Amino acid sequence: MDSHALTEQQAAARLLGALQEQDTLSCEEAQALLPSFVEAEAAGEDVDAASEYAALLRHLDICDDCAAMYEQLAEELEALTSAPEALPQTTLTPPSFFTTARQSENVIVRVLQGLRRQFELDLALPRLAPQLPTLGGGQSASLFTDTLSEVSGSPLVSISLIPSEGGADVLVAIREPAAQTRWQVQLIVGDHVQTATTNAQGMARFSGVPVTDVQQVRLMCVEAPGS
Amino acid sequence: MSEPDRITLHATWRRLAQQYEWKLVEDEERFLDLAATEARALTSGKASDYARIAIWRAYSTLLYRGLWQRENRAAQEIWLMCARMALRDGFAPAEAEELAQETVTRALAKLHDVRAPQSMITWVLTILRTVRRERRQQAQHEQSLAADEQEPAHEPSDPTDLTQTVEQRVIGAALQAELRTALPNNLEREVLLRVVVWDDRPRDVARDLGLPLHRTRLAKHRALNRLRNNPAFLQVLSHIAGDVPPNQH
Repeated sequence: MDSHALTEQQAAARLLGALQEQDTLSCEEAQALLPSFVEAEAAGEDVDAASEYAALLRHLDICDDCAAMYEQLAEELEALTSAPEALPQTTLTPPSFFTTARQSENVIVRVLQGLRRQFELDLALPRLAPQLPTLGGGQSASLFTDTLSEVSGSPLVSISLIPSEGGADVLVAIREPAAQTRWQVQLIVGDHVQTATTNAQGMARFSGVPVTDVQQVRLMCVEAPGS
Repeated sequence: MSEPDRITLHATWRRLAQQYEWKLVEDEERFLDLAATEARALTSGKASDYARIAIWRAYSTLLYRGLWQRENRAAQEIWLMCARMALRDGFAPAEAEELAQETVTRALAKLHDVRAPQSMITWVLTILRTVRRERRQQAQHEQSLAADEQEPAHEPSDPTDLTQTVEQRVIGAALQAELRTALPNNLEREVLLRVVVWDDRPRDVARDLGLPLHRTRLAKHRALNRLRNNPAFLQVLSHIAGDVPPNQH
């Protein structure tokens, strides 16, 4: 259509249409798409014609927060990839982020550097998986129990697996002798991720964890804010 | 369109690697193969733009893998970039390091959220932005969005003439007058008319106005927001569009 030949009524209708566009994305969904969007745009892709970005573009027309994030990301990406002196070349010494505190056949414990105390455990499962069918009736298998003296406060950590229909429940207990700290615990099993915070007794429970086809679970534990 | 050649990719890689102290690449030829694959996935634009984005995306993939495998070097390279960005933005060294630390920590906690490992570094920038904003809010130094919106910068040298031409070619006197009142900013008005009414591509509008593409999109965003929040204008617009009888509302 020749847009130059629009009547005033048609022009107004187009404007009205744009003003009445429906936003079908949440900010979280939009922000997940933004990185690849700004990269495609910076590479010269015709993102306005790409169907995968249509909803994001509508969202950016409407949402102030996401539009501001888009603006900053686009400017940062341009500066960081184009300008030779985009950042000051100050000499800085990064910290060591992952300190392997202990390592055995079945468990790796890492203490993570951060503003709050945090640690993680990689637990091997291959020997546990065949046992699961025999663990009916709610019997649990201990995956790990020990005091982590490598972590400040020396928390006692206990992790158990309880078979349940369609997977297993994972029970995590983190207790400290001298404090009632709450911990945010993230359980990662393949693509499956669950997060929970320990209760007043130091317990967190993860239900319906799909453990049958995996060999490892990862537990990231971060001291909850305000603990 | 032309795919960046190996020499361009190599030169771009060396530049960015030196700039950001990227040292995760063990086999350079294999890495350049990965970057070439990324470049081929992009289908339009200039070769020089392809090269820098392709390298950026290929290296993001390495960083993503490195974080999953808990390689210190991967986390440290991200930390370094974040700390330097914070220094550039005026944070004190100790504060910049804390900010970088918090960004890496959050990135590790949210790593499973990453949909495209190729966009890992850009994704980390979104986290850094959030952390930085929180810090600024704490310190009550955040600049208000309203002030930013009134920035006259980035407008073309003579936007008034351009806008008048666009308006006269596109819309009638009634709509023109209403729009001028509702949208006094010439740039916003022109972008809105060209993108929404003419259906021009934002990239073409940006080129014609000599603006970065994201500025053009933001001008459209702001124009639409102003009009949405103007019930009187919406009523007149509905009337001109024939949706609403003149005496309704």
